[in-house]
Amino acid sequence: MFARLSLLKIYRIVSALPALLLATLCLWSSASAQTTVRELRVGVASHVRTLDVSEATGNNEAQFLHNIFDTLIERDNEAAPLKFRPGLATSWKMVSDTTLELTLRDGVIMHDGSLMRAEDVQYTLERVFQPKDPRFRASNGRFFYNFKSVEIVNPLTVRIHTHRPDPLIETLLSARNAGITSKQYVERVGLDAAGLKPVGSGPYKVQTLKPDEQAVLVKHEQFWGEPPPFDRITYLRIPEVAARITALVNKEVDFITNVPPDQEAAITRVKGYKIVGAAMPIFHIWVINMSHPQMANPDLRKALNLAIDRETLVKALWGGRGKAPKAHQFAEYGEPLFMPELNFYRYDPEEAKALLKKAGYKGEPIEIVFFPEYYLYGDLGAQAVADMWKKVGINVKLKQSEAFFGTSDHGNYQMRPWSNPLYYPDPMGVFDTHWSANSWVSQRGLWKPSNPDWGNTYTQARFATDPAERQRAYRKLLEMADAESGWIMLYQPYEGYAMRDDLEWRIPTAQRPYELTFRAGQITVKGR
Amino acid sequence: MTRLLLRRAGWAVLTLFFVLAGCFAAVRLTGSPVDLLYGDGATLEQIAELEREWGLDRPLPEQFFRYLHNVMRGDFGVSLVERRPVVTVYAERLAASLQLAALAFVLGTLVGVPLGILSAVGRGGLGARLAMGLTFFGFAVPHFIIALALILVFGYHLNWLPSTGASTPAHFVLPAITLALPLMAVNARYMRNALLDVLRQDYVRTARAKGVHEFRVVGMHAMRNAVLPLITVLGLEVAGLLNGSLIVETVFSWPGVGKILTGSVSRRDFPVLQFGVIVYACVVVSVNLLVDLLYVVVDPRVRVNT
Repeated sequence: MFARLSLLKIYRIVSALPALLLATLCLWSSASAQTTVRELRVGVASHVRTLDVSEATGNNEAQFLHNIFDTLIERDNEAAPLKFRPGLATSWKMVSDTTLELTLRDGVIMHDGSLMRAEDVQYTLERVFQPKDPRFRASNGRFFYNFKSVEIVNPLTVRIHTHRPDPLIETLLSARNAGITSKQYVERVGLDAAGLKPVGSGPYKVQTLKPDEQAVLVKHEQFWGEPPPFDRITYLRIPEVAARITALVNKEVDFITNVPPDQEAAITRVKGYKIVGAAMPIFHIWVINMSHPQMANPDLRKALNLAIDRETLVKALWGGRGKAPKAHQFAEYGEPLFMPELNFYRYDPEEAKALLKKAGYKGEPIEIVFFPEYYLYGDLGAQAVADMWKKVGINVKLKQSEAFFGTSDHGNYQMRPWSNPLYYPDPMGVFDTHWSANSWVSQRGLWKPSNPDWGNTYTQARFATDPAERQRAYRKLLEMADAESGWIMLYQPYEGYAMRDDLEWRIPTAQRPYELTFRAGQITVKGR
Repeated sequence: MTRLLLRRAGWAVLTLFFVLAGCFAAVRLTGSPVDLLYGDGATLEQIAELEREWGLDRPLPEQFFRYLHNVMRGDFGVSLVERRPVVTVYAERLAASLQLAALAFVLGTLVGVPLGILSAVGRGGLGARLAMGLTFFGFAVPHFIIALALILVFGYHLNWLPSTGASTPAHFVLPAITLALPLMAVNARYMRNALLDVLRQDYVRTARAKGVHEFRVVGMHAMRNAVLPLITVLGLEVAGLLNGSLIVETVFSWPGVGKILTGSVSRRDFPVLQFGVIVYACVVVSVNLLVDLLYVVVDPRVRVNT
């Protein structure tokens, strides 16, 4: 008994030590959680491996680029229709149908201390206008395939030449991937190193980037514009949503992204925090492999679209706060290009069954590939749609995939998830960026419109300078696209951001989705 | 002893070779990394050209032996995603992972082993039953559930401890406990079972009958035999720690190698994945070699037989 007590006594004393240590660490932790007023800590669900402005076209990179790089022409963050204002160019004019002359802003000091000059503009833009390196092809394919070259007139004047007249020239030059970097810096350190510590001219410069983990931006003291509201922004990757929400309410971060609707209560029940959310101008879709023998019949593809009750999906997954689109278009276009009367994405299971019969569908399995994490609720959406399709007699198989597909996989699947964000508020901001002849879906044979008028109509919708003509061509394009049914339209998702309630920030409507805009006037701290 | 060492070292090298060969072949079955990196932009011709440039179009055995040749020269390649030397990519993160793993190991041992002893010595008592119940919990519940539960309780509700990152000692607490709990459970159970076996032996009864203090009976006589199976278990736990750290580092956004290793799988970053496998395999093989040697030190009978 005495021996046992001795052992127990010893153990009790020893076991008290961790508790003591824990208490000390808790106190230390709460002290460390205080942040300086001029620091913003952002918890993001996904991070980046490079911040090269010409290469980084994804949704992840959009969270960063706006704060680091300037473009020649800037957009008003929330104007609809789009309004432009001087950026790195103070003025511009068309000197011919295919040439835009821009006067550059003098005295712009880049993050490496150099003065921005015409050669920086030529270097940065020509690597995407004429992409020799494959890392710039995505940018070229999405935005700049009509741009030919940059001519230096003098150190503060450039002329940008396009292959053909372009009604979207200002819009495209105001896309963040047209941001300008320092030629001498990139040539000195190389593209790879420059992507990890890029040089721009924006209000924040990159202090460190740990790929896929953390980025620290610090205030650029010699920024040419209005000083930014923060001295330092830290972007920390927190992939797990519970950890991300906890980090916010535990005061480890000040702002978090990707708050699912069903988790909002966990934030709003805690005093001092708020949610800012909206139905983002982005479609979650499944792109159909039209080259797959089973998916070649347009009646089958149309039937798949008609068998989806999108209103129910939006109610169930997004609490009614997403949107069930009626056509592949966004209200952000404004009139006349947004046509609210179009209604292609009806829910009509009877017509779906009739089309299946017409297509001669005999019950061959149709495989839905989905990514469980990359697109929020991608797994739930897939399961819901699978049930809807089963009700009209489609034999559905669900296949979860963890990684993005590459070329080697394209021939094997029937459809795969994708998103169509609106890169700029114009029909071509979603159409040209995803469904042009230069897009990867076209290049890989997934998207193969069969209507002989498609090419000409597309060209008119893209390049016509008369708005009425563009509108007519765009309408016809949508009608043809509906007949092809080359993608399964799901919904416009709701995206929520959560933050300290003394932060005033709105989702920018004139920029592409997922841009986090932390410049002066775009975010403020109450009481400052 | 030298023969033992050489024999074990030989097996270790062979194990490493087969692990690496298996990993090398397996990842290449998933497809092309070039395609994943540039699939949305590059033309098919550019993808093919890059694959030629990176040697990915060569036959698999040729790629493997070229890789082995480079590894012998200390060149582990460049991360296809980060475009930096693989060694640099890992070096930046290794310390964080090792610190966490070491802390979890120490915690799991310092808490688990005494818990097992207590449970064996105080068998039948409420404390002992409670202790074993808790260890069963640590054993049965997956890492990510423990992690989320700790985050919610200590981070979200109580605001006592941070849940993300690794910038202060306080950041170590939750991830270390998450990793350590299953270890505590295993150590406690093994210790308890081993000690119970030993405490039933005649020589222990003799020692008690001679009036030897219970502390000496357990601590000096019984433990020396009871600890032997535990040494093996501790070696195996290193592998378990490495596995568990992949999940724990993701949930807690711990800046360790676990995250880049899991990321390298989905991104087909072959050089990063291969290096990670080499490192992990080396650690496991080395620790098990150490365990074998420790056995020889602790148990004179093994020394004599060897």
